[in-house]
Amino acid sequence: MLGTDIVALEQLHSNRWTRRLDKVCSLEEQKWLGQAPQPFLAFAQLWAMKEAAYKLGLRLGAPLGYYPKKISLQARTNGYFYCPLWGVYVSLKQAEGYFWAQAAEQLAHFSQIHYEVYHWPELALSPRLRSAALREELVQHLGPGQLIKDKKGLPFWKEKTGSSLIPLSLSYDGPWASWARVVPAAAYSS
Amino acid sequence: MTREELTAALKEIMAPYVQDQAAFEAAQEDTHLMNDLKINSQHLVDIILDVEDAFDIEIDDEAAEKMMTVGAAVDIIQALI
Repeated sequence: MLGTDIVALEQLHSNRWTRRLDKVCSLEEQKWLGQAPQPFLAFAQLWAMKEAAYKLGLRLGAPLGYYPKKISLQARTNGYFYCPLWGVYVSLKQAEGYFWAQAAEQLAHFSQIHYEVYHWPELALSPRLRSAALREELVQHLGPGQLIKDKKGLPFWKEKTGSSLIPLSLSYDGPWASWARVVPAAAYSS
Repeated sequence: MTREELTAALKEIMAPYVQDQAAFEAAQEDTHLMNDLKINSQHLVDIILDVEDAFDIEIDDEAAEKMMTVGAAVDIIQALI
């Protein structure tokens, strides 16, 4: 299982990020961000990681809800972060224009995560068209099937042939869209 | 502002973030923002900020955690304006 999140830097910076910080970060985190060399970038990283951890937390049984300040992260010396609320790990990648965070139950699982990120500026203001475009990409990568969601809104790919459900993590922000899945370990040995 | 007017104003704020349009059109007081309307956690922050701006109020953490249904959100706004 996994959780991922993408944060578009330009969109976040132009959309009330300092007030957003107050809603999402605990006082301890706000103090740390205030001392960071680049508070905006540090906040964008933290938010992406909190969201990725939350999405994995939902898969692990956490309730749907609004409690971002309770999702704390601890930096580890190996470059990963640890979220004690659900006992999961989070890694972060920076690319031009966005931060990408992914959460996994074990560090070894990170190498099994396959993800794709798309830049569709023409769809940034059309969430439904962006979702449709992502579904087309999923067909290209995963084969014929249907995107379904469970009661929590967690996405799965239901293959047209066969009965398997592939857990996915989808993330959108501004012009960016992404999907990710855990590739079974057996796929590496073949 | 009547409760009906508050509800209408709240729904106008929520509209861009809703992912289940059918559920939104049929929304009642007990409609859940996340379970029913499929509003994600990132967009809940947008809604809280938009509500604060629209009604010139400040929603604290405790109130934000309780804003999970249309009715609860209206209750919170009504208590703060």
